[in-house]
Amino acid sequence: MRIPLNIVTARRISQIFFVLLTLWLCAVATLGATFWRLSGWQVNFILQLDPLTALGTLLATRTWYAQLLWAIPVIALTAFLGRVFCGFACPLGALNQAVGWLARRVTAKIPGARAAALRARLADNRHSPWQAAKYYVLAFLLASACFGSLQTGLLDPLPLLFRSLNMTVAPVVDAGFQALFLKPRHYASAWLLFTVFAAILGLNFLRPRFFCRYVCPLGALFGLLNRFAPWRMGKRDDAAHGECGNCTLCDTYCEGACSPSGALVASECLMCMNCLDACPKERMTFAGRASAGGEEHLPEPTRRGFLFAALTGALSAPLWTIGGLAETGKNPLLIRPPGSLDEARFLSRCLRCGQCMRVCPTNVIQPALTEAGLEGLWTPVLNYRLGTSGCQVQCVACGNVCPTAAIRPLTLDEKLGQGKFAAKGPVRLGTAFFDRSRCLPWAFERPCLVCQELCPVSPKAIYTRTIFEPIRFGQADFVAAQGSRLSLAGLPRPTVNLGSGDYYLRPAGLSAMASPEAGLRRINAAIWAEQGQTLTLDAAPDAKQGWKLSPGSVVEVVVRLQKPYVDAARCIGCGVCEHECPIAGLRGVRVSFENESRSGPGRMLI
Amino acid sequence: MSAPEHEATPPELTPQELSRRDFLKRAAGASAIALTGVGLAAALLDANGPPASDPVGAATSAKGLGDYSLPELRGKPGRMAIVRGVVPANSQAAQPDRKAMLERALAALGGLGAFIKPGDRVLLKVNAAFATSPLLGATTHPDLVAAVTSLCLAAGAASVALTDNPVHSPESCFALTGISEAAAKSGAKVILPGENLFVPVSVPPSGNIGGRLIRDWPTLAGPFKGVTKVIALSPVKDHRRAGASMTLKNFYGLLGGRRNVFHQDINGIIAELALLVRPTLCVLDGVTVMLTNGPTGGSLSDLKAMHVMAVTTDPVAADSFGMELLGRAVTEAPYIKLAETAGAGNADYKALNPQFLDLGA
Amino acid sequence: MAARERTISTAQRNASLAVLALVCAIAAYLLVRQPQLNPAVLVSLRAPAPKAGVAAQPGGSVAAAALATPETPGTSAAGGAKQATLASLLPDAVPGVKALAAAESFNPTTLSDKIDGKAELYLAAGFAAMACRSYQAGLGRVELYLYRMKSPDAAFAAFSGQRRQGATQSPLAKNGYLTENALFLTSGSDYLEVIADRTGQRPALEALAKAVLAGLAPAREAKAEAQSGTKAEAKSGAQPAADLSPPDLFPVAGLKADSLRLAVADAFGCQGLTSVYTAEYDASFGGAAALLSRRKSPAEAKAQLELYRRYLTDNGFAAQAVPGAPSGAVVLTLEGIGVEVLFTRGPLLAGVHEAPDLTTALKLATALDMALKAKGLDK
Repeated sequence: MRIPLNIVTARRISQIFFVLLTLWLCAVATLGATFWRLSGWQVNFILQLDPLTALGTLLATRTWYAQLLWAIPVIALTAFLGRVFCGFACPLGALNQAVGWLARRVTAKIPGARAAALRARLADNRHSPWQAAKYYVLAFLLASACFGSLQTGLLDPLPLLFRSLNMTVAPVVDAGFQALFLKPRHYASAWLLFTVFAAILGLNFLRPRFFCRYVCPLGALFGLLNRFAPWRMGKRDDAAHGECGNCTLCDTYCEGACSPSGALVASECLMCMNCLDACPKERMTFAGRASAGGEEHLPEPTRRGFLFAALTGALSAPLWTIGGLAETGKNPLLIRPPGSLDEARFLSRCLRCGQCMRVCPTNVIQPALTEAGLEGLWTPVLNYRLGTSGCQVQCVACGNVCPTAAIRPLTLDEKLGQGKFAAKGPVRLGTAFFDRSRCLPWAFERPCLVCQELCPVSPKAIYTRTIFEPIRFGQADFVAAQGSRLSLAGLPRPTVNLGSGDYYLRPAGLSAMASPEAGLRRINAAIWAEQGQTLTLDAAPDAKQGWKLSPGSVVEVVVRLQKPYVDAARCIGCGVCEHECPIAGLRGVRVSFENESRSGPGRMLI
Repeated sequence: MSAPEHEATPPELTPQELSRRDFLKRAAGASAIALTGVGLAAALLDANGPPASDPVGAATSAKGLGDYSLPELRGKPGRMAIVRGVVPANSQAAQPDRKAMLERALAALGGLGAFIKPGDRVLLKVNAAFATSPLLGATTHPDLVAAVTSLCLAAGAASVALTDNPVHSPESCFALTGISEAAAKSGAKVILPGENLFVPVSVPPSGNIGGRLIRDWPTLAGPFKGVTKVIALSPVKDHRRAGASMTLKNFYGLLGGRRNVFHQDINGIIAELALLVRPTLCVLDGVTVMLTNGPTGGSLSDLKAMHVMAVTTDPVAADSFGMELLGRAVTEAPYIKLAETAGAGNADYKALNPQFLDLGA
Repeated sequence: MAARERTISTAQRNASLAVLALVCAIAAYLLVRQPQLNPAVLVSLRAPAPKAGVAAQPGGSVAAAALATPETPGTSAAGGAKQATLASLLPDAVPGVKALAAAESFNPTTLSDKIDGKAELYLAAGFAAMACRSYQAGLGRVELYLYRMKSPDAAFAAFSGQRRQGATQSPLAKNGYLTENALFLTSGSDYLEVIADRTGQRPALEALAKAVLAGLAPAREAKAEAQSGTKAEAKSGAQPAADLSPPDLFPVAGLKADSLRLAVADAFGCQGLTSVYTAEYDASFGGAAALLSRRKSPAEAKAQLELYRRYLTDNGFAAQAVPGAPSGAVVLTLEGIGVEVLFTRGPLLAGVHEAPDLTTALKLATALDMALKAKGLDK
């Protein structure tokens, strides 16, 4: 029995498979050992197939990272069979094709509508010299990579799709039923990420697979790689199939706009195979010879544009260096995930695929909008306010899902500086600094110690010094004492709970005495009334400690404060203190990149 | 770019043969592309991922900047001469002639020819840290630069160059201190600290010192290329953080990068600097000494005329003598003892049996 | 696109099938890789035991370690070194098996972090250190635990205390057996557990065990060499019966295979009763167990007997005089529980434990007495 399976159906099945696989790999990228969690899924599989990533990092780092070896079979396949990846595998290409198809579906049952739609479709799918634009994009990106600035991920469809799914679609879709995330995820500049994604999909209304034809640098690379493809689409011209009637049905359905009816532009053929199916005379074939209608390779002689694009790309990297953002002018808030390489090497590898941001259990890894400058657009940066905690000490997820090792895959031993990494010490992301004008104990004489309590480093990197400070409007006149109960007069209405255990009473004017704790009595309870105040102390005041129990003597309320300090030699910059600081806006303790491990010597402490 | 050109093909081939030839050509081309991919991957494969720190820096890291002391003096007590100058009577000058003082001191040590041989390429490490007038005594005096340069050239040196990585803008520093002009007149080449002259350098440990602070640290190594002799020309200055700035602190000007992190351990870093480079000769210029508000000074009232100069092979001894000029105990600049512990010299200059010379006598 | 009736060429159909096959191959590859957990997942699943030097100042930690050593000479430092070598004995990979993570080491204070609940068993038997590691073997996972005990007896106690009866003897060691999914054995003072998460992993278990044993052998030889000077004289000549250890003294007839156990401390729940070997006997002895313990002196053996006797009477056992019992034997019974027989022979404490009735108790006690007599231990 013959299976009624034609190549277009097989192509559609393959495309649906890759789209579903992409969605699945995005869905499972949450830490966990079950089947629907990260477990052992090769979440980077599709990213690893990408020859543009391999080539870009190759140019930028002069190495071919082992994780990117999957690009080799894709390159070989393209060299021999043409852009099969675009036609059969690329998930963004499949989405573009689907949108383009939906946009051109004929629904109205109006006479002549179908013919008009076909005419419009033929016009949309006519070859355009502007299809050369994507080769300029490619030239720009590769030239920039040559000088150490890897920007391919901005327009490379695979990182672009993963970035868009990870940071816009997944959080929005999941907000309804919370299968992926316990708490709604936040991603800075998600609006811009989605604008780009939506624009790419929307442009299919203008032309089918608009992005693939005019913009896609990966497609352009494939278009160059298939230069010598021995097998390709083409028209045959032999007696058995008769003359070509020039019905242009092949052109009408051509996704790549490579004009199969005439001189076929081989680099533009997306291997959608629609012409094969559309030709009423079965004249279109996939064979080892040139099309009978003639054949060209590239859209236009484009040397000048190509060179111009390459030159600007080559200039862009040195120009970014002039900005100094990777070195002396680095943004103090540019804190990279643990294991990140030094900024220059980081930017030669990061694809902005958003895998680290997707997998981060605390959502602190965010796409940079301005933090890393234009060159570092959408690269990962830690934002301790947006996440659900700081960078978890016992977590190495980001580095272990990074497809290019811009964030190195750390072991826990290396991250924590234990075992054979003991001499190197832990991986530091930065250092916490107290802002004494905003921290509650420092600025507002309010007791607070959240940062110190939650510092995960052992021994703690935040320590305290206890002091007793007179509170504002805390003086009163002594009236009478009854054991540990004191009656006072003239104490202004307190703005704090004096009986909370943090407040003490002492005779005024004692602070000059030798001991800072002289005469202190803890206030266990306080009753305030305009005409008189009653304080219950933890013990009766003692005349020997400076108390004058005569009416009219002045007492003062002091607060016991534990003022926090950072031990910079122990701080790892995990940001838990910053995240937990109760000052909701500009935090009272903030981490900046100083002393980060990745910057090498001279970072702050010696 | 286009279909095969028909003119180039012999006419006897049938279209089928043509097509077959084209197919084989293309198959070869496609194989070449695929094999290029495989070859690149094989040649440049990075199986383990990038290292934590940039390997380029570590690879170029040298072991210090070199030992330029005379081989015959190594491991032996250094040699030292201390000379007192006089302001010549009937002279306009306010200061004694540094060249005369230098010549006298060198003569006592056997002449400059004992240290500089014909053909030597000499590097002078001057202190040009600040863009201030030589009158303020914060930098190496241009007369000293000119005197040393001309004596070296007279002794047959093939070239004399001088360098420093100052705090202020380098061009201004060399110009305003008068060093540029002195160098131009006497024939020394000024090497400005261009970024490409800095190389990561490590100081190998010696005793308890070294190997800790100057580790893969960008250091002004470029000017040392091809150099055979190094002479340090240093003023004597007060220094709030370090106690005093003389010969060893002068070598701070060889550090690049964000070197100010080292002020957290100023004595440790200066002791390591004593190991970073071992000079052939040190000239400590105490004609005017900055007693207060160092190391920048800024006022003539910070200075005191002492009219003394020391020439020695031992940088640590030079600094111990400098402390005496400042009226301070050697222990007030702890790095001197640390440098001695590391084996960089002698913290008691008198142990060198210095020759005391007086031009006034 | 309009559907058209047309025949599909064989080439096209084959090409289409090839595309689908490739898609299936990719799906299969991803499914096969799926069970191999990402290192990040492994870290996220279990918190490792704390280790020294966490978050210490770079460079400072080395100095701190150096400073700490003199305060605890020979304990922490030597223990640390021993643990390091122990962990290094766990191989990175053997054919078909590869490690999923670095080996972890535990000492007596941290052991319960790893094996909560069972740690007491090892600590009571005389535990020095443990190293463990996870491996991937085919689709399954294998956990390897290497316990270094304070003595061979302690290793045997840990081994025998959890022995499952009816298991297959392992060819790798005298004290070794295999279950459906695990392998347990002792080698000198070391006790090894290799446990798979599924059945059918015997080759992987044995390969791992062999690799560990191969690593243990050179270490042991070196140790033996170092001690040979002192022990050589004692070992020269035939081994006198007085030096025979209890496992060699039990009567062989009716002895159940793999039933030999050693309770290092608190044998039978009796506080102070230590180093007691038990051996179970078959139905001809009513399933009773014989017990033997070698003490330092006859007096100590008597004291242990008295200790256990008091423990039994405190728990309701009643002593009774029984004719036909071995000379000097104490016979204690508790209705519904069983019969215990105790006697001493020189420095040996001997007896019968949990016999169902008096007849079988006396039968086994006599057999034991005769066996000791045959070895010349009837004093």
